[in-house]
Amino acid sequence: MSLHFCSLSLTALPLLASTVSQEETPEVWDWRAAIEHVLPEPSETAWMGLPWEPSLRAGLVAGRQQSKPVLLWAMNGHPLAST
Amino acid sequence: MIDRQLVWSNPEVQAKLASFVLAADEVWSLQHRESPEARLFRQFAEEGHYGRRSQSLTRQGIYAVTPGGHFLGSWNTRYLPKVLEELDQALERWEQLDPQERLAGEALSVDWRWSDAYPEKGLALLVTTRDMPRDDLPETMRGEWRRTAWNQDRFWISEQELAGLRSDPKVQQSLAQRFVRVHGRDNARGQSPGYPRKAVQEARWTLVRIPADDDREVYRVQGYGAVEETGRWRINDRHDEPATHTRSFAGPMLGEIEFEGERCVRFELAWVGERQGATQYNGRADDPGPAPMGVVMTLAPAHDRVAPSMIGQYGWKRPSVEHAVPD
Repeated sequence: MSLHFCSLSLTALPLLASTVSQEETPEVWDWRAAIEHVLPEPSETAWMGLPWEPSLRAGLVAGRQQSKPVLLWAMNGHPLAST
Repeated sequence: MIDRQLVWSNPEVQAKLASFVLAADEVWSLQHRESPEARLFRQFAEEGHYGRRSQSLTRQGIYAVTPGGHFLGSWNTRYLPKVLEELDQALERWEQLDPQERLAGEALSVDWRWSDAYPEKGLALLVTTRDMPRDDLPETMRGEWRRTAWNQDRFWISEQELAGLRSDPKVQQSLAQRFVRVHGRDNARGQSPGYPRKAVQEARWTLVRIPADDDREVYRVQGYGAVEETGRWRINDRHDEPATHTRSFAGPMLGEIEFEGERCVRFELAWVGERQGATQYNGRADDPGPAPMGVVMTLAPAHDRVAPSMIGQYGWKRPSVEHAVPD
């Protein structure tokens, strides 16, 4: 199987590999640019800055300690992991 | 992801959220697991927006409850006016309770979960997946969010694995296998299961120490991952019948890992390749590729103890919880 990165729109992502295969994995392609593209912008992660407890139980324990109601976000797939 | 960005990022919503303790959890296990926490969820969920429907149907959504688990409100919408109204109503119900009622109910006993297996002396990594740029976006693609959709998960490395990461080819091979099998799945737009072991066609990492300033110990990590599976499954939620499909992802990996003594202080790995196919809940029915996708692994923030969604596939053993005590 080969990948033809050059057929993609790469103006914003200058991956340097033109053809990549199992047999000839290039040592030089712009992996830093790939990371920059994939990682979310701060505007995409504002929700992650909220103080989420990672489980219902942890939320109930914290709610009791702080005398506050608990808001549970329950999704198919953990909302803070893969949903 | 669209809910997260639009609703939780709204300043009015965030102002109201300050009156709550916030918690996030996976709904399937709360619906089906046998534990005090899950049983309590099932009790209050029956009073909520999806209550009294078949147990096989999801109860996902937002729930407001007292710390004892008494129902205050619930909803499953990202329509902002409705969210604000529901938050107000839940807080109103809370305010109407006297202080004793607010904290009524017994504290839950300890129920061991995978998040308790957090690798204190190992590594917790964040895995992010997103489509790479392309010219051939399908006309049928609805909305801007699908073009830039991303998802995240976790990858944990145990203390023993971390000890062998720099020098033991067997450990490198084992970690590469796990990474490719679990994170070769296409979950950029939704959920998708990990691959079975037999689907891994190639999985390798090679670490080579590279020159660095002062005492830094920096390794170049290079590898390749390829997975492919053919089987019968749905590809469009519940709108199609199971049929024979193939899914795959393959491409090179490159990055750097940096250590200070025994401590890993930087982990950056990019896996960029070609995805193909669709699964029931990953939103690719009308965009199965082949198309480019990127998977990136970086250090998770220190406070992030969310367990990998597929840690059950790691082969790690659950500890005995016989001597666990309530909080």
